[in-house]
Amino acid sequence: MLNKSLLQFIFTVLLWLPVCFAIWFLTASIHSHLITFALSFSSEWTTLHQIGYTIEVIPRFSPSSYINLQLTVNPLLYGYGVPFLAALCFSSSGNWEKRLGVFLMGYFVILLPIQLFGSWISLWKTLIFDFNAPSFFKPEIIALFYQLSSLILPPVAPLVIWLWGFQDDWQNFDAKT
Amino acid sequence: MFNFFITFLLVLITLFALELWQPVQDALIIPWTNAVALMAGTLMQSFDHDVLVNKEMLHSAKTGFAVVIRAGCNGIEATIILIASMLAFPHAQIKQRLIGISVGFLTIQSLNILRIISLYYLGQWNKLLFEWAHLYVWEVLIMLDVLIVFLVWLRWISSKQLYVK
Repeated sequence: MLNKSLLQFIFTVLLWLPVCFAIWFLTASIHSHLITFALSFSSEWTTLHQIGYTIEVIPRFSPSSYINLQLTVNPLLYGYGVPFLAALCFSSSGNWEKRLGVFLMGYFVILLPIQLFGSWISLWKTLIFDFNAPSFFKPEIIALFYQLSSLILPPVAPLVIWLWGFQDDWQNFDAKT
Repeated sequence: MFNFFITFLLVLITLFALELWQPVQDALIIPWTNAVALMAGTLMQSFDHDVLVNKEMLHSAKTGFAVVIRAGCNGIEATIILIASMLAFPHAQIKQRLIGISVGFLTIQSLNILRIISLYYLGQWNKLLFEWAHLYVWEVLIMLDVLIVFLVWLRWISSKQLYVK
């Protein structure tokens, strides 16, 4: 049974957050590169270029017709859970192997796909609603997934990963502190 | 614990779908969003007479800067996440859940009003910092608040010796 106090945990998270945010922002273009790479396989309707951490998208509504339009997707909007999860994991008990293990597993298995999903839906939402691009899905479904991917998944995912990965911690915070 | 996570996700998706339902939007979400703007604006007007409130918009008569409170900025999603976690947790009485949800709602909304006020002034000072705080930092701080409320609630249940592991 762990005896780490809740107050101490919160304080440590608040100390880690600025550090994790700084590292995340400094490495943002690397995260976005992974998203750009994955998105490039998702559609033949777009041409992608990464500029810094943003992705510039040139839509193409038929194989031969380009329109003079450039959209910008910001993958960081769906990835702020990365520094949050890092701060939660690094503030938890257990050896560093476990802390890094949960963080890396959470990042690659859950957070990165969520970031990819959010970027992909954001792109398609703009194409379908603003430019009437053809889509297999109904516009309502795209709108629902867009709300889910931007409002719920990015903030919930790090909490679920941490609650799952560090059950001993949150079930045993010292009640006396 | 597996049941907790599954129940949490099911309740979360249900509440979120309910939130997006147009009748709920009209009856609850939009009026609440306007009320949040009004509360933040009224609070600011007590020390800043340049603040004007118009439905979900707060704007400065002095600089012309304005912020609009939209979905995702009204604290509803964070509240939904907290409600889902407290409803899904197996070892609690109904009364404890209701107390937890009520206190959690007040805590989240209080922090959200602080967030809106801070963003209003930050936006007039530095646009880059405003974007950074708006899009990333405050999102995380609100979720940290949700987590803290949930953990304190668990500790409270534990101290009442009604939470059986």
